[in-house]
Amino acid sequence: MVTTQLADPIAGPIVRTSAETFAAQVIALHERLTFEKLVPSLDGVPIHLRRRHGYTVVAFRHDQTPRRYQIGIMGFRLAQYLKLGWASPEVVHDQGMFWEDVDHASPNDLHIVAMDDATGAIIGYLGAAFIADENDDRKFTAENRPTFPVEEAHGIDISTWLPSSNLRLGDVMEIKRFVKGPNIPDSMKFLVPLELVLGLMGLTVNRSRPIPWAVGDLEMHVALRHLKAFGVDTEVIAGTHSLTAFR
Amino acid sequence: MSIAENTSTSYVNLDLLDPTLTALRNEVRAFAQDVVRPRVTQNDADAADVLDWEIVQAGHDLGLTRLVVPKAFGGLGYGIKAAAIALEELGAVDAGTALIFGATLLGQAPLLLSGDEQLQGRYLSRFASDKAVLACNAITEEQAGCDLLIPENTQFAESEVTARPDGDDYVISGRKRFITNGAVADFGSVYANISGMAPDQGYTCFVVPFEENVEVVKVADKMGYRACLGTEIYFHDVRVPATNIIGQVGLGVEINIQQMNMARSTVAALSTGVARGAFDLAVKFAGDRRQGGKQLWEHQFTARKIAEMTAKIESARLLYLRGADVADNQIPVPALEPAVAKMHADQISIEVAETAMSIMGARGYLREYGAEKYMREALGARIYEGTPEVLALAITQSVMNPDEDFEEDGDEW
Repeated sequence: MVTTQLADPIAGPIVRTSAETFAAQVIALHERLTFEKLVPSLDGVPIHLRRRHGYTVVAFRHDQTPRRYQIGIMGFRLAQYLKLGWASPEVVHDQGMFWEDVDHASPNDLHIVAMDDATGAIIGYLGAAFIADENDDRKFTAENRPTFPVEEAHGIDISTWLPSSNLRLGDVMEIKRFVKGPNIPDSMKFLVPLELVLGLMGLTVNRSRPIPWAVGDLEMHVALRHLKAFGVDTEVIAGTHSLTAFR
Repeated sequence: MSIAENTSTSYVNLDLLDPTLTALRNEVRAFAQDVVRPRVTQNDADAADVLDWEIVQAGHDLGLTRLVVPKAFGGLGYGIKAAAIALEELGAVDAGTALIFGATLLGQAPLLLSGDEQLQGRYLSRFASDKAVLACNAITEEQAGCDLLIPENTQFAESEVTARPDGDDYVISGRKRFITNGAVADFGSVYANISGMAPDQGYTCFVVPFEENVEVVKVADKMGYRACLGTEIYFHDVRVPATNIIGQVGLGVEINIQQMNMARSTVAALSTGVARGAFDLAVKFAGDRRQGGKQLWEHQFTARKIAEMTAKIESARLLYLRGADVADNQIPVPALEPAVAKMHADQISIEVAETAMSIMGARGYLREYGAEKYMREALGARIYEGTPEVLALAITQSVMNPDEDFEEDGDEW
């Protein structure tokens, strides 16, 4: 294990493992990247676009996004999770990850991104993952149906919790990575999360079939609080600490 | 005995680029003509330390800073041939602008050679940003120029930039000169000698972020290539982690050779572009100008000049495409073809620019007609990435010892 000592005038030397050093480098890399030309670079019209108060909130599908921006967005997600301590520096280091796997995301996955118009920096992010597109007729009761990542993470079957057996696979989405960026100006700190949720709500109703249900692994006092503040009905699924379903 | 029937399906098509490269050439040509050309006169007249960031940003938007960056890191994933084609188009309009992007490629080259995905991710991914980023390559010093480009001379190099080991870090100190983009680069591939080691043993390539303790001492006031900044920089005990070493300690000579063999075809292409730019001016003039009752090009002496210029440019282009082709397809990159391409292109660009001036007469000597700028710039490329003398040594070495194109010492590469 390689370690590095950094001088800290107050706390004394900080000993970093090579994994922690690498994680710091990943975070530093993504703090440099800017994406002011993201919106005009999308393939087609964004699903949601709102510009006001000096920031832009835009929602789009993963497959609308040029690879360079996919890398930037998935890297932003990883960097914020590293900062929050929700991603393992050891795993990130051992796998040489600079971003979450760009090719692992479904083409239908949605990114809702808030950007500072002055700098092009991402200042907030909310993702939505789907296991089927909106035209897929399969029901949640279908055998060998695809599963949401949170189902795998918590070892549960979401279909046992959903109130109706008639729900189709495309009627439920998973909320992912509700995070804010390091460069968010104070004036935007409270508005941006709400704008992101607004963008999410907008896209749930701007489809040929609305999305009545969502599920997500949310921090009780952070993302979940924002959803409640917005009037969303939520319920923590029994047997989990943080897996939440809401409508 | 008889000769076996040909079953090879490989061939060299010297007339056509593949559709992807043709599209790339057309895009860069449009950028050069529409975006760069209107600003050439101003950028040539500006003070030596002025960089036209709007051009840089526009080129970055187009993808010129990430041409050879792998797609996995947000780049375009092209090879040396594509970079060369792009630099011919830029060089035909403004060599200085071409070199801004060429020097960035040069700074990226050691990272590409390293095969170190963590190092690549940390630095090459920076070019995925929407904000323009430049890189540079820092070899040349006050007393060490060609000695650092000729492998057998490295032992004599009076290199002053050193890297002192300190724990898991190295501390880099000393001065570099004539570093294109040095004043504006985000990071550089910096060659330094490990303290206490002989130059041919301790010469090492580091990736150095140009942040704290990197001082821009001076920007050189050049006769040409004025759009790019040739910079003197001083490293004041710049601390970099050992993980920023390309390859390993002492591998600097080998990295440098490979980097040059990769880059020389692109410089040859840039010189070809300079020749083409001068040629285009002369051809237009020879078509417009009437003397002795007919157009200038119809006079036999002038016709001969235009024919010879054409042959020189065509041959230079074929040679750089050949050099780029081996650079893209052979490991290690051989010295011969890229060096031949560069030596030829550098020479013919001077000849073509001089001939263009002669065809244009007094107008060729005036700044407002542009030919004299091509003359000034044609003289530049025979200095960097190997002078004709350095190239001649590399070429003759390859001719006389064709099996020793790349010196192997038995160590792992």
